[in-house]
Amino acid sequence: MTSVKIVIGPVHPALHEPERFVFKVDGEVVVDVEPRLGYVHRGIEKALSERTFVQGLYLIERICGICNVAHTLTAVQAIESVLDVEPPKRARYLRTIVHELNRIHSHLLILGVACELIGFDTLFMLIWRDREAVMDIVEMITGNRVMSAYNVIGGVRRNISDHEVSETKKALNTIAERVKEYKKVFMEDPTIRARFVDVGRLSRPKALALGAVGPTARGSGVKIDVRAEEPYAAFDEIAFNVIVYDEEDSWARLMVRWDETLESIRIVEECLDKMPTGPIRGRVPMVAPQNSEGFSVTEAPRGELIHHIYVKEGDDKPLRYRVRTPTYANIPSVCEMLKGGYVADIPAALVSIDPCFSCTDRVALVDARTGEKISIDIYTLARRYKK
Amino acid sequence: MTLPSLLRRAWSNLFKKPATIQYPFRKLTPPSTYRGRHILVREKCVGCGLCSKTCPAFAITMMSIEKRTFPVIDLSKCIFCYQCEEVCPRGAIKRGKDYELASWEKEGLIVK
Repeated sequence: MTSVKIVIGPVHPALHEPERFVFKVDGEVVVDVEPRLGYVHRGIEKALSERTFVQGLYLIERICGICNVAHTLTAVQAIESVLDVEPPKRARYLRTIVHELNRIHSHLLILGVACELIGFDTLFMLIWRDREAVMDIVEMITGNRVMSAYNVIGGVRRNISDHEVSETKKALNTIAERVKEYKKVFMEDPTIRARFVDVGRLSRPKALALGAVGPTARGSGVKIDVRAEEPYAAFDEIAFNVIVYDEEDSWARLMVRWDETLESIRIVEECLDKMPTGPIRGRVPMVAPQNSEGFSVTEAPRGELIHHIYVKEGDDKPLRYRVRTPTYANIPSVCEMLKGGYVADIPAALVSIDPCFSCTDRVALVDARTGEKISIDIYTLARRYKK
Repeated sequence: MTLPSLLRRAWSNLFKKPATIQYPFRKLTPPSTYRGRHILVREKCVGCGLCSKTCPAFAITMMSIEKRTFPVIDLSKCIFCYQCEEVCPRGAIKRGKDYELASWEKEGLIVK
């Protein structure tokens, strides 16, 4: 058997983010996949250990633009655990609301992109038009469409007014209607079914063995959701369903996202109704009281997200910061999905895990042009470029 | 073979106005919480330099203007997190709604 190697990436029209894949193909069938991570590595983990907790939070927010609330939420929970701070109850609810709004717009984004990749541009445009309504809500609550800068250590930045509550509810009602309509299209439309059903199969035992997380695992019938298993923020007081599909293909993984969007809309509405009154922010010490280690895990739109932090006593910076993002955990699964499929189905399978490569590529080491490692202090850099 | 249910919506959208806003002709008013170009209130500033120390993007330098020290914000470095507003003890940095920040000169990106 002769096989040919096709190199896709790092920059390729089929991929929405730069990453290199080598596909071994036999005719039109993919035999083996070899991913190579690290193209968009930015050295964030090292940079974090040179910034104070407060400054670092804005860098953490920029690990991933789309799921920035999930990243800051995980980070503030980890930092709060090392600083021995407990956020007020109202802040927990507000965090949940923004976190879920973030999930809604992230899911709508990837569902739109999925439609675009199979050439269904009408639905792509319609989904993204409605996504804009969610962005407007986020802008109204936090002050910016994307970079929310909302979670801070010890609580949240600003309160939500009654006017904003009613506006949010009104907008979410419209979005829920539209989402139901598009979900119906996804279930019935022959074009979508032809491109997604039975594409990128990931069986349940494989998903478990390869450690799939988030909607990727839930599309293969694995019932895992951090919000249900280890409730954080206000999830312990809110009842919601964990969406599971048993079809094990790309279509199932995308359907999980439709149902989750509806579930998130319901969670936001419930939070807005149940939200207690009170302070939104507590006092926070500047430095760590003792040598300690903080750990936090949340359910980001793409799956479980882990932040791990070490601090030294009396330090206002982390000694070491580690982030494990969901796409990183899903890379073995996506390689499994692509094997045995057609070359033309690669985008349809890849999009179903909602890949976010700039999240993933934080871990490898960067070398300078000569192959030699250089390290420079961020403050030296700042001094050099300051006029 | 059933007719795709989206066809009706796609057809009716052909006769509707675009959902996008015709930007340069029609402008959106951002919400009151919007983080745009900063407004520095010099009368309130005491020149303590906390904003400059805390800025995660190193965008704020303290400069002496008319024999007093004031912050100068470089918007080309600013990430619009408004941490400076947060730490300011006197409320001398305020949120502005201006989002049209493009400028021909570098001077246009400096908030004094």
